[in-house]
Amino acid sequence: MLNTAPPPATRDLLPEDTTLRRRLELSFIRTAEAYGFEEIATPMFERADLFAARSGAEIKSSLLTFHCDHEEYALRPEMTAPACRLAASGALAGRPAPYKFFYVAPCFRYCRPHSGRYREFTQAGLECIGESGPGVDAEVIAAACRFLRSVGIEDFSLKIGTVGIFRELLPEGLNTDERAAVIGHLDRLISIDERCAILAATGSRGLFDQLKTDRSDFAAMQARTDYSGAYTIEDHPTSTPQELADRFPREAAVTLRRVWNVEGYLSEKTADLLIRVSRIRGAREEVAAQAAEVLQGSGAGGSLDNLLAVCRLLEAYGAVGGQVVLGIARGLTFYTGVVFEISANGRKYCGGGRYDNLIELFGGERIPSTGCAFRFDALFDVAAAEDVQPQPGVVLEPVAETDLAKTLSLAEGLRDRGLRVGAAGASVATVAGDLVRLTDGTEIEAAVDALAAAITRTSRARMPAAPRERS
Amino acid sequence: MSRVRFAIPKGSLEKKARAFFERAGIDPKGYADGDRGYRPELGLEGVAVKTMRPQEIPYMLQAGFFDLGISGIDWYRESEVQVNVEDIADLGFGRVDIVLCVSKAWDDVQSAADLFAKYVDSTGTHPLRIWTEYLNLTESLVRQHTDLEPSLYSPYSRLSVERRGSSPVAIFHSFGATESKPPEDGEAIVDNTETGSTIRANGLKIIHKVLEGSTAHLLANRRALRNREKRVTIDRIRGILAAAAPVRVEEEPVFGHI
Repeated sequence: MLNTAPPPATRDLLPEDTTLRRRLELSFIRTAEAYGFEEIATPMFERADLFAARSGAEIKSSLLTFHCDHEEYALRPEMTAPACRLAASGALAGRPAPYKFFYVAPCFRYCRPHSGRYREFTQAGLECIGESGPGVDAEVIAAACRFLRSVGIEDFSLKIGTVGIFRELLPEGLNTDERAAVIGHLDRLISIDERCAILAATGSRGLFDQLKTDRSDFAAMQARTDYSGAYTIEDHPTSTPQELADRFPREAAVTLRRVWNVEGYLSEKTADLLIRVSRIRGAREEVAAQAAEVLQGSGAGGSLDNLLAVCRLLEAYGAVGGQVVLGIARGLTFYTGVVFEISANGRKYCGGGRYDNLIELFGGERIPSTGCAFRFDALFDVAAAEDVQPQPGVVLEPVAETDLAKTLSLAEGLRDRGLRVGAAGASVATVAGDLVRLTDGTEIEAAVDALAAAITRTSRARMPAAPRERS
Repeated sequence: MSRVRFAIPKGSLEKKARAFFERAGIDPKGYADGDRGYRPELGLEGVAVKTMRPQEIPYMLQAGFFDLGISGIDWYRESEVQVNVEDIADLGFGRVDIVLCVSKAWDDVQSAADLFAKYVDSTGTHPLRIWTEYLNLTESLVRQHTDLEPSLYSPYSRLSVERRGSSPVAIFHSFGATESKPPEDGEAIVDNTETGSTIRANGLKIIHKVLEGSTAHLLANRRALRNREKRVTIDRIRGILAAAAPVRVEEEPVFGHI
């Protein structure tokens, strides 16, 4: 027999899911349009090198690809590259810049089954192509926050940083892979810091196990680089969560310094500076003061000023509560300036930032750009259930075969007046000759206007429906 | 009662496998560095253990010589035994990448496509020579990127007799120290690497990951899985070993914004 389950790591959406998705989509579109963004749609698949060109093999192995006419294609894993390809293609010539685009689009990535992710998912995003300066960065962040509030997510955390600092601090001689390796390490270090802080506060068993695994990875890195010293992990088996939370952030930092040194990536001094900068976080003024002190004499600072300017504008937008985290270092091959992340309940829902080099990479001119994207499906689970009042509905049934013609014409008449006819689960009304009998037993004349009024009345009486529970 | 025949790795994966067994609460006897025997004792009831080279384990499972084995997913794929051998658990240790490398000096070659494009029109008098221990993975790599049938060179004449030819791509059967072949004796290699440092130290660079993050897996002969008695033992071993496999926070690659 044919396997009727959806393919691994995909899912079917049922009417209640699509209803919710449609509502989120409309909220997103309304918000995007309120900020002057316009919709684009690009092909579901692109030449594979559009996605693989600027990035490593890691990305390649996450693409769903196929060959056709000896060309390799990939189902799009995200929408920024297609939007930039569109901008580089010349199809926008003559339009006034900046191009402010939004999209809500299915995207595809290979992932292991049971990894908690889907191979097909929806991405919703904003891209502003052709304008530099802190103004648009702040606008994109403000729009992202407004959208979340519009779907009932108030309790989110916004983190803003800039990869510009890393671009300024990393030595020129490092190639793309080496830079990516260092940035990946820093990202992991910050994640370890954050998780150790949570572990110290909660003592969570799951987190303890997870961090132990991380720690054994770092022990392996130490072994590989022949590290021995005060922070040798093998010499200090940690038996309690508290002990691990205390030791591990320092061990991790020492290990990374060692690895960077052995690989010849960074001098001790630069390594130290990078780690200290990454660990700066807090409100705008505090970060400004601390960073100025750490970065003094390093020649880096231009991107910090830009970041602080964006933060000041955001305060004017009223998007306060954002935390500046200089350690947000993801995607250095992609981003060039301000970057941000929005999460709620410990999950990341939105990421974005400035990417001034991308269009140039695709063979266009250098066009300053900024944008963000939402993990749209993940919002299904957190968006507040709203009282949805569907149009009043009815199911019309003829009593005898001779009533069929009358039933069909009544149904069309009701639809003309905006009512739903024929939805499963709606109350049933029977048509017999010149009379229609409603569920509650009342009988009315088989005329469209009288029937429409009666159905609207009885539906109202039963409303509102209870909000739907979502697990 | 029929015993489950279990093959565990000798050689490259051995040290890591031993540490892994210890994490799983198993105290392996006769499975230490200096041991000359091939029949260690894991203290698992109903199991006969033997050490084998990881390269051989997948196809010995396929042949039915063993019911259960531990080998890298790289050799599982290379041996093309998926039909008869099931991958039943990722044990997470022994992580390597299988990579395609060329000389660091080749600035015009940054990807597999660049490399094949450079040779696809050559006549075969100066073919692209790829050295590897992974003959099958390499051949499918060539076929994914070109319309060519690569020639195959191996000291075993039966392997290569019908496959020597004028193809612009030639795969050479390597027996180790693969990274030493370029530049004069070969243009490219497909080899495994843990950190990439040996590759860099030999003046090479990685241009493509043929198989990323290959780790040791627990593999089982499918017929053994259908034998009720053996199945009970296999499930028990899988339970013990899977519990020791590290739980990974899966890092999502960042494309685009999120």
